[in-house]
Amino acid sequence: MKRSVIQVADHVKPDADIVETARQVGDLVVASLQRGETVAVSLRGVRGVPSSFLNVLLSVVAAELPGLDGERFSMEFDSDIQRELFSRSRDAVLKSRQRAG
Amino acid sequence: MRVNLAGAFDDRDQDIEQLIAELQPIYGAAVSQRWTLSCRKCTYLGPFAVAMVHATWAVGRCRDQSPKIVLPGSPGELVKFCRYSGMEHEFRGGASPDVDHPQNEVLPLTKFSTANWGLLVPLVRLVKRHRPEFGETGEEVLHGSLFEVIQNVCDHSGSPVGGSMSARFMSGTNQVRVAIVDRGVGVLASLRTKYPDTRDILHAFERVIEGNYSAKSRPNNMGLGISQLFGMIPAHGGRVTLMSQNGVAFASDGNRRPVIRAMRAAYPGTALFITLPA
Repeated sequence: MKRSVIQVADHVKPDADIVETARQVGDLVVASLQRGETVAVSLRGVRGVPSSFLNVLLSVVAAELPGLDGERFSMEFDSDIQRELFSRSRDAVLKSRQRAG
Repeated sequence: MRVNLAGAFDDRDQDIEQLIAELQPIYGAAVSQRWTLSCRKCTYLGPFAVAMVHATWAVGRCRDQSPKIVLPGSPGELVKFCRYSGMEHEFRGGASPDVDHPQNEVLPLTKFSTANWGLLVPLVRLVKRHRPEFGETGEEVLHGSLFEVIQNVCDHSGSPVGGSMSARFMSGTNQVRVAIVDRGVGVLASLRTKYPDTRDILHAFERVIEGNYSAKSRPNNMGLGISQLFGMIPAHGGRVTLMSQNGVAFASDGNRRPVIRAMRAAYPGTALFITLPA
């Protein structure tokens, strides 16, 4: 299965809205998944990733991959803080989807 | 109407509460009622005072109140601060402050209504300029936690003037002090749109600090922002203070649990203040 890596740093621009960037990256992930690929999203080189970015990204991906299946979708981090934020966002997104039924 | 401020308004909770109390006549002013806020006799203003005065002035303009801010004429350090903080530029039409000046330890007033990636870059640059050894972890904490606040202002505040941010690097204590202030509906009103059983502001604070109580639970806001701040900042040796209506909550590395209590005067919006050791 082909593996693609999306570098978030390539999409970060000073004037770009954070939430909009998350949607764009999420759409790229979904497109890759729909092509049957496994996808990694890399946060390397991005400083100060807020949870709003991760929440939106994971919400978009979860619409295509409901459990955020770790075999098809993964993330690469630059720091333990990013990893911790991702973990919290992931739990919140999955819980929110459960509540929504 | 004229309100005269005097003395020092530093960044301690009691100074901020005092400022809020003294601004009450302006908060209650009718649309089109003109007012002047004189800071002539102030001896010290911290970034929280700057952000609050700016938000007050911005709302005054929105409400056709022809607001005037009289800046201090002395002491010299305070006059310099007014220049570097952007107060002179905003309220008197003076030149924009030179952010790269070697003596400038102040982030000029930053107004925002959306959260863009570049919004916090000047603040992080300010910190790194004065503390080149500021670690990557510290940068992540500062950057990430402040974006949480900014996103909350953009998503939930309903502030007609967006948010105001002011920051300062305190060379004596090696601290970064950041204030982010809005004049929106406040935490209680925001939370009650989805959780009408929220009793009062103190109950609202308990819920948002606990987490998973986003007013609207949209994908970009899962209700973790304030909770993360109250966890992350003290864990890195800092202090976070949240004020909204007549409630205040704060947490520092000295608290086991956040302290939540009533304030004597109400702030018509939400204000958050972070102190980080660099």
